[in-house]
Amino acid sequence: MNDAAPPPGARRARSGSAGVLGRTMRYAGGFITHPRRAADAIASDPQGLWVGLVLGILFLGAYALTVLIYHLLGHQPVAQPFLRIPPERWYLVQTFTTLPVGMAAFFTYAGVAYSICRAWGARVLPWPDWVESLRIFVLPIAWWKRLGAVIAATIPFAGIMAVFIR
Amino acid sequence: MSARPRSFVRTWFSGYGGPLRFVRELEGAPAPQTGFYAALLRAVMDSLLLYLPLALLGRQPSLPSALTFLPTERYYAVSVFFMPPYLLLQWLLTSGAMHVVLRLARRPSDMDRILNVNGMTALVVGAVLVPWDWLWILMGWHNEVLLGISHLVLVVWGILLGSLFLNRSLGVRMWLAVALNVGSVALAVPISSVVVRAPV
Repeated sequence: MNDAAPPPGARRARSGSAGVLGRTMRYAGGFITHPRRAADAIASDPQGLWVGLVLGILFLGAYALTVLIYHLLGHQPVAQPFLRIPPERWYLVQTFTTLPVGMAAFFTYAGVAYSICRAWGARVLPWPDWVESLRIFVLPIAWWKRLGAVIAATIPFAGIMAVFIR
Repeated sequence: MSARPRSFVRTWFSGYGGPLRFVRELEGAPAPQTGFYAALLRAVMDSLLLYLPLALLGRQPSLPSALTFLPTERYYAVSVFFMPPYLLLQWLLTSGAMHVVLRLARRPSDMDRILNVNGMTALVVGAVLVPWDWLWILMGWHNEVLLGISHLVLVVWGILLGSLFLNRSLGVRMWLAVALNVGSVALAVPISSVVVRAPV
């Protein structure tokens, strides 16, 4: 990885040619190929939070659409739900709860990660959206602290998903 | 008692007096540690002073549990352990949501100070809610809907404190500060209506 090269998102931000949606896709790719550069770029992008929000909404919106199709096809959850909602109506309810529940899960994840990183003295802090959540992996703190923050933050995230999402 | 715990208690109790004094006290408090200790203390108070005695008395919530892994007959006993992490997560969630809205609106924000004020207002209000709940229990008022409404009335005080802090300390306009605090309550209520059951 060449850290001296300009970060992909920053280049686009300067040119002003790419909208939030285009940058969202570029950051998504950048986090797979050059995570540190992409993390630096999104941190310095004035619209970085919007990028994360757009991606969160796109992902959760697509998920909500999927479960609506499941409901219309007559499917029911295979695993026993933790909420007392009739199985035949589960996916219909989830169509409307996926977006708020998903955003709440992302916020909670980021909040836990923030608190842990803060307690461990990290100055560059993660903040809420899925891309920023991935940014924990490249924070300038010891790798085991990053790993601890990721694992601890994933527990409530998974708990919320386990209760509300099938 | 060292200076730090003493100033923590002073900040806490200033929340029952003048809101401006509360803002001044909280501005000087270490952030986000003060908010964390306040949120933790509020959660432990709920757990030990409310749910534990109810569990020992063999009580059950009048409204059945909405969660299959929290059976109604053991709801209060499980809540002794379940409520502290839940309330801490709620503190992080509402603070995070407020911070994100401020950042998206390109307004000044400081996550540490938002955590501080949300934790401390939760403690100020929560410490009153415990004896309030016990009053309802002892009087035998078994109406969880009315109890919830009475909680919301008491929460108005927390909204006032939180809004004033955001306005004075972070420079957030008053209407936005009030909207954020009302919004954080609106965010917490639906989740709590699934997870939390009234102590009556």
